[in-house]
Amino acid sequence: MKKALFIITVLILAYSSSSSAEYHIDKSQKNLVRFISETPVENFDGKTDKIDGYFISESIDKLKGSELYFETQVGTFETGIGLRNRHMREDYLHTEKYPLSHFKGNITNSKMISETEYDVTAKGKLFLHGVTKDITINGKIYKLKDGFKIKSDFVVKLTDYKIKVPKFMFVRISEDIQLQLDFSVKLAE
Amino acid sequence: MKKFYLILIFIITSNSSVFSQSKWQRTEPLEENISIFRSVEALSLPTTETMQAGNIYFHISHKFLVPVSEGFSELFGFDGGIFMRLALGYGITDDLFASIGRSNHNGNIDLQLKYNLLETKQFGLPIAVAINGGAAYNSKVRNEPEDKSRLLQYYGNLILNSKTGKFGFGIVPSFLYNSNIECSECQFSWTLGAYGQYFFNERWSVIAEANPTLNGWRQYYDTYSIGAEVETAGHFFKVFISNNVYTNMSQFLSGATSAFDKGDVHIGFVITRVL
Repeated sequence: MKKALFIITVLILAYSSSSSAEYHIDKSQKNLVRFISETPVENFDGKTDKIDGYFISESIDKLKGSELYFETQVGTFETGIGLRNRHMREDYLHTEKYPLSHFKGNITNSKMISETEYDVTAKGKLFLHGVTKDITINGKIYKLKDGFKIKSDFVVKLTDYKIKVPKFMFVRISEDIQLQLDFSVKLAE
Repeated sequence: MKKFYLILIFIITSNSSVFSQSKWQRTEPLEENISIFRSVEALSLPTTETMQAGNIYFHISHKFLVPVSEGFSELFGFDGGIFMRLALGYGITDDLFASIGRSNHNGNIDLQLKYNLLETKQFGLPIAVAINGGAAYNSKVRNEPEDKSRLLQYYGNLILNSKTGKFGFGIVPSFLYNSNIECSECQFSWTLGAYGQYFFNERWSVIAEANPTLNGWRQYYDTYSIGAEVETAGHFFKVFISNNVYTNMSQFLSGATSAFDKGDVHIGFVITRVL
């Protein structure tokens, strides 16, 4: 019995020592969340660097199962026109009520492109405008010296998140908004 | 010994279960946006709003000189003459807004600067404070004064804005120097402007505005205006009635020429566009 316990302990110790490392968003890097609205009439985009969150992973060659959480302050999106920012915040995204949008999920698939570049798929929940939906997003993970760079490009349908698609707003808005994420994480202290 | 191992196992497993619970914590505070009015002006008086740096603003306003009381024969004023103003504005910084305007009465050219001093939340209310200052030159005056410096007028507004629910309101103490360019004794006017705007939704609102003169020279009456605003696609449309027919600040602050309470009012409108 003692022996069994000993072995279990050793196994668990071994497991936990090989276990995951935690990474946090590296705010010293140039992080970007960008949305793009494309319609035949007018295209525009909004950008913010207010992204925060964490990434928990074993190692670059064991990305599957890694946990990912990131959030962004939707009220900080900058479209270049002050009044348009206000319309977006107050009339459509209601950022006073829902200041944050976040994604939490796990990597379900990873494919090596090179030693430092991986194609990944993450499944999880996206929270936006008070609505949570299951979502699968594709992205790329690059190995950095003491962290990773994460890039993703996916589409959200505004009506899925109960966001009105304005017909006569400042600009025409597409129902499908493309989201681009580009941020770095580094080993948490 | 068995207990020891069990405890050890417990510690390790509980520890490893902590792994999925990140030690990450939000460190940055959430940014707060103070928003009261959306347009840079109520009907004639300024709000604390400015343009974002680099944004351009266009303004056109009309006031019909024939009063509404003339009725259908004059189409409530539409058939008569107008005072009008065209202006272009520019956001120098997010807080500093400059505009240049021209109105046809006395060939008035105005140059205005508005600076947003403060945006804060106090007692649960959003509060914004701005100052607006301008100079106006009257380039076409029928009886030109001998002293040409009298063609210049100066003014300043202190603007305090707040909002509770769907009701935005503002107080605008104002000072006008050289109130009447044809009268050398008419040196200055102090007025206490005030307005309230009720927003039915993100598009429709109603506005009422008053600008009583507290001290100094005044035309025959204090100014009152009441109207509606529609905001759509980056435009503001304001339609109102007022007893004050002036479209530029230096003439507007001097007071009204007809009595609001006797129904002696004029139709006016303002259209602005953010480019």
